[in-house]
Amino acid sequence: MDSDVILMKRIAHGDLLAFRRLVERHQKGLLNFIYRYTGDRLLAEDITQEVFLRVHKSAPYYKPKAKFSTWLFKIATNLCLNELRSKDPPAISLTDPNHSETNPLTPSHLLEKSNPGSILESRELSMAILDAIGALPEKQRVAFLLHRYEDKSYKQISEIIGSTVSAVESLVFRAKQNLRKALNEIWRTK
Amino acid sequence: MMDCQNMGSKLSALMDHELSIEEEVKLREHLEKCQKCMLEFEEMRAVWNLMGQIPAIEPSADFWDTLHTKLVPQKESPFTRLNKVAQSIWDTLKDLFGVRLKPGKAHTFSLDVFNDFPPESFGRVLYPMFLDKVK
Ligand SMILES: [Zn+2]
Repeated sequence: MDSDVILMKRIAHGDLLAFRRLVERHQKGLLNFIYRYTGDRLLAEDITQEVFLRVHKSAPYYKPKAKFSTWLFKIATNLCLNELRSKDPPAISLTDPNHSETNPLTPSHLLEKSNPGSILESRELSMAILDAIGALPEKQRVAFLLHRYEDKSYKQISEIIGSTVSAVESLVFRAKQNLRKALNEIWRTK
Repeated sequence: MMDCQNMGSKLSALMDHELSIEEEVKLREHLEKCQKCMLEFEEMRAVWNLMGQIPAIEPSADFWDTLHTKLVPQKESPFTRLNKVAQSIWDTLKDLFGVRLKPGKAHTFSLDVFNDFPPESFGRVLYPMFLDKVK
């Protein structure tokens, strides 16, 4: 059996040590997922804690229908979407057709230039990447983050966000296209 | 011949190892012949690699301690025991008099619905109702 599921059973019986072990196992992955989604470190830590509180609260009713991490990321995704629902829309328009089509600088150039000592310092680069992720529409962002950083398959993502596999394929693809445009745009304004 | 116009999402799925074997073979054959799609594919891979350049952050040192303090009140409170007593009295009465409650949301948990009833808070809600009845 999934060792997370065993821990959940122990948590349901009030085993604090089991809960701590579960938290330590997943805190970093969850925190980074939420941080990349929100772009805000403090907020990310708050939401991560809220995810674990919900896990703890629902342990007695937990039924291992799907993989534990699928369930965990489903809670995290719901909280992220609720948390940011009221936030302002992204400042960069990703649908502007004038952008990037004629731009000779491509992500491959960006990657070359991102070596140490280049114009775009690595800190600056990671901020640019986070901005680009933050500008994605919610569902594209979630799908892309789950795929790129959490190694989730299209199938698993479809279970987490509650949609079809082909919808996920399209979300991930559009996210990649938008990121490419956004990164080109950021590069061009440097 | 494949249609290069709508190849994007298939190239993306190829990169993600999400195509069936047949689809993959067909697409790879096409890539060998079509420079336009090959460039597109490499560009996609470059974006993918670039996205890997953000370093991971670490949870704060007091992550567990903070979480633990948020947890303690609902876990160890003296109410907990009282709640359990109230709950069991209620359950007995309910069985005796055949009182029908709407199936408590607190007893079911679905992936889609997150109810905010903490475990054992049920008794806390029902206890005052029960006192009312006795008076
Ligand atoms: Zn082609």
